Amino acid sequence: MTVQARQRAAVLEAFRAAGIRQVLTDPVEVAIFAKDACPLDQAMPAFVVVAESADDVVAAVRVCNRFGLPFTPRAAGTCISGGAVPVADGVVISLAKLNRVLEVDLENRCAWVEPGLVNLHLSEHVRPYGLHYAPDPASYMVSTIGGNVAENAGGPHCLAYGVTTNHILGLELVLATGEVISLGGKAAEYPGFDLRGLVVGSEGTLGIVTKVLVKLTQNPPELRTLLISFKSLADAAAAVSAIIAAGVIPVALEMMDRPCLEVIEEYIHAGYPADAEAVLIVEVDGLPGKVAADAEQVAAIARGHNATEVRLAADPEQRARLWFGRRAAFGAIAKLKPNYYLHDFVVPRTRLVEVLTRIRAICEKYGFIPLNVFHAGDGNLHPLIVYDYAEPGAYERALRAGEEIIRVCIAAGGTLSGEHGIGIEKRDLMPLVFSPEDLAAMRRLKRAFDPKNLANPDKLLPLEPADREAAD
Amino acid sequence: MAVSADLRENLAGLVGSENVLTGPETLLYAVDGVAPKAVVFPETREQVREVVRLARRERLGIIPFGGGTKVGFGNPPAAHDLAVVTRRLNRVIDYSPADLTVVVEAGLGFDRLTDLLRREGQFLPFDPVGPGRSTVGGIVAAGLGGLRRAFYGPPRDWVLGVAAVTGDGELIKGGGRTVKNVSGYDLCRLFTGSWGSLGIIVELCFKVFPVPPESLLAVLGVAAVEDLFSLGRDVWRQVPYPAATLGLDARSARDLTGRDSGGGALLVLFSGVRPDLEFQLDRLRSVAGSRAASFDTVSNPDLPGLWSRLCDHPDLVGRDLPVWVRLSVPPAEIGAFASDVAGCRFLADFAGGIINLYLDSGEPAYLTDLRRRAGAAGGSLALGRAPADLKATFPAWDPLPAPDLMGRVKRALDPDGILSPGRLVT
Repeated sequence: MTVQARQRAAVLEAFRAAGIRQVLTDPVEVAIFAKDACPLDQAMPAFVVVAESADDVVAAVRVCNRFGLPFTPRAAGTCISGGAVPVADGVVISLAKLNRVLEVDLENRCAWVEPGLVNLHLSEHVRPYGLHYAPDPASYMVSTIGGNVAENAGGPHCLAYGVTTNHILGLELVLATGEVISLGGKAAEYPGFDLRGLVVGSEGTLGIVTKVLVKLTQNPPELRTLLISFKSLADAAAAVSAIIAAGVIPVALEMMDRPCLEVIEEYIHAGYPADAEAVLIVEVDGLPGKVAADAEQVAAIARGHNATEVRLAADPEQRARLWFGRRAAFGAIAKLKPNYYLHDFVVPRTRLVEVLTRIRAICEKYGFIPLNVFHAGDGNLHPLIVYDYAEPGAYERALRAGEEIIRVCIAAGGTLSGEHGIGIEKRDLMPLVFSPEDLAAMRRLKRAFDPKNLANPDKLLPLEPADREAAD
Repeated sequence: MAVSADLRENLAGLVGSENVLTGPETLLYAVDGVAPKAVVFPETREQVREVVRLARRERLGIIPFGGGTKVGFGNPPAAHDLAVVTRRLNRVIDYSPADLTVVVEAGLGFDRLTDLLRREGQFLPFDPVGPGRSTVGGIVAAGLGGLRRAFYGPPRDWVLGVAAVTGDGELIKGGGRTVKNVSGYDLCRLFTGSWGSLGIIVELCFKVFPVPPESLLAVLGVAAVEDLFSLGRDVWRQVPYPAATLGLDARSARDLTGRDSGGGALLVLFSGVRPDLEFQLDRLRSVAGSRAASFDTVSNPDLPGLWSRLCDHPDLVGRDLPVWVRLSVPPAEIGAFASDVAGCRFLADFAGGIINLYLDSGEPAYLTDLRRRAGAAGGSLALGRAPADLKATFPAWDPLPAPDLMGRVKRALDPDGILSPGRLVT
């Protein structure tokens, strides 16, 4: 036996001795854990621990700590920034089986859940009580609460309700050292630093979350959804700014441009207007008086910005139809070309038109037509470049176009990522927005949680020269 | 004092001698009875950085100051050599009403920011104590939720970007100027509620919100404190979307409204459009039923003045009472504490699960029991102010969760422990 093989046997034996029943090592079984939904990178782990309880997670982390093995938590693997891509020959700790709702506290409107619970399943679970979990990333039918916590996920309804961090009241966290800590809770104020806030969005680099206390939101008494068509993108974007500036905060304010609408109509038949250059989906909720006033004001502002059609969903079925096209957009786009590169930037709302125009010019320069379907109300852009990997040079051109787009967004006062995360995808772009001092402070925080750098290493922060050599 | 003369000179070299105090005025910046050796008023973030670097070289303990409105929180300082006052860092850097964002320096007064935002029909729902004196940096450093916390969220939900000088003398930033951002670790959340223990906040970007079209406060008198707590709970559960659901002891209620009520007053704030307000008021009336001995409403122009006095509860409710106890429990558990506050002066937030209790003396045994029960209910108890002798025997905070990790986080940004030493995390 080689040293490596002996070490592998010892690690496997340690997992088993710790009571973990399911550890995958067969390359065929392990292969699906080598990548997530990010097209940029993959790496074969040596072990996949399929945790069946929080205790399994603790035990697995302690083994990793003992042997100095890097580990990557994973649930649904839908991350699009590479956050769930393991380190080569490291350990994946799968949380997919930790998918229970542990407690629903109706009195305090919150619930303890496990990290592998699918986002939508949580809302379905509490629907009988007139409650829901507000953050709804596009992947909400498959992505999990643990993944949402790791990425601080957003979604269409975050405009009024806030993103994941605004809905996480408490966490149980296993540190890379094997310590288990509990942060936050059902009360409003606890002493000490808001480490719960630091952990949300930390992409698994500070430890593994094994329990999550989520806030539950009352279902609104009234809800109205409008579909508004425009002949020009500029009019649509100006309407977005005007709606916000008028003091109306819709719960969702989504935009789709013509290339995107065409694809959706061709494959999904959502009933969107065929001749529009851009459409907005605007949703307002709350008490009936506010909803009526907001809907009226939105419609009036839209007409004042040359809207060609303002369509109001008359019933839940029509509302579902309007949302269906938006929700299914990425599925439809996948039929256009085999590969796509989905971006995620945020710019100040007032710079939307300018940035969209420049994105289109950049894409055209590289021979692509960008599709835009995004959270306009937040200024959160998701330009999407479709390409065929088999076509020579197409992938490289898509990457180069992406980099140029990033620089345009940053120059417009924007940021690297609004909701998809930094992961592997954008780690080396971090110096575009953060100084060496900022990054050094973040590194020290990481070390405070994880002195041996075992928790999902090489994500979120740019590689240091030593890491880079090791990776090469 | 020889040390003082040298220190004064060094500080004057950094910020100008007119911006350094070393005389008896330093008493104004005393913390738990300890006056600093010097008080310094930097005007730029670079000056803050240089002051921190000097303090680090000289091993001086710093306590950052905004308006000083929440300085009563925290354990007695292990060292208080230098008060760094941010009031001169008070510029508005960028206000973009159409983006609903504003970037300001940390020493800006909350009232000045409020005036600026109001001109564009916007606001920040922080409701700080000491409204005329508190600074935005102090509000964020404390992180305490205001009276409308349950409806609008605490300050942590409104901070989009932060810049701070950390204890190692570096100027760092987190977040940005956009309403969504997941780039890097969330330093905004980390600094919010860090009580000056990690860095001196120098700049903040906030998300702001449109002022609601109309607001109305219902004031319900009740016969007994127990009724107040049960009614508060029912209102929070059954009346749709109150912006605040508060309970006030009888004397404070009389001081505020001029009306007598035996057991105190329930104050319910509604914000929105007129038809909804009518609907909400109707619901409130039917939920209250005969439990409300009186039912009044306050709207503009009287509401802002009344609300502002309410926000300043350490003065309205706690006047002449040296001990401020802040109890935070899951909202459904708050009723269990009704008998504890009977006969005392207090402001309760039923939706937020918070009781601000004011006492003329705090018996450590009584407070220890209260703290134990708050903990058993899933909450915590903090001192908002207390005489030094009480603080010497009764810790200002509950034991920290994950104290080892908190210590490591503190040292990651403040390796020599010079910022607010001993006050929160050691």
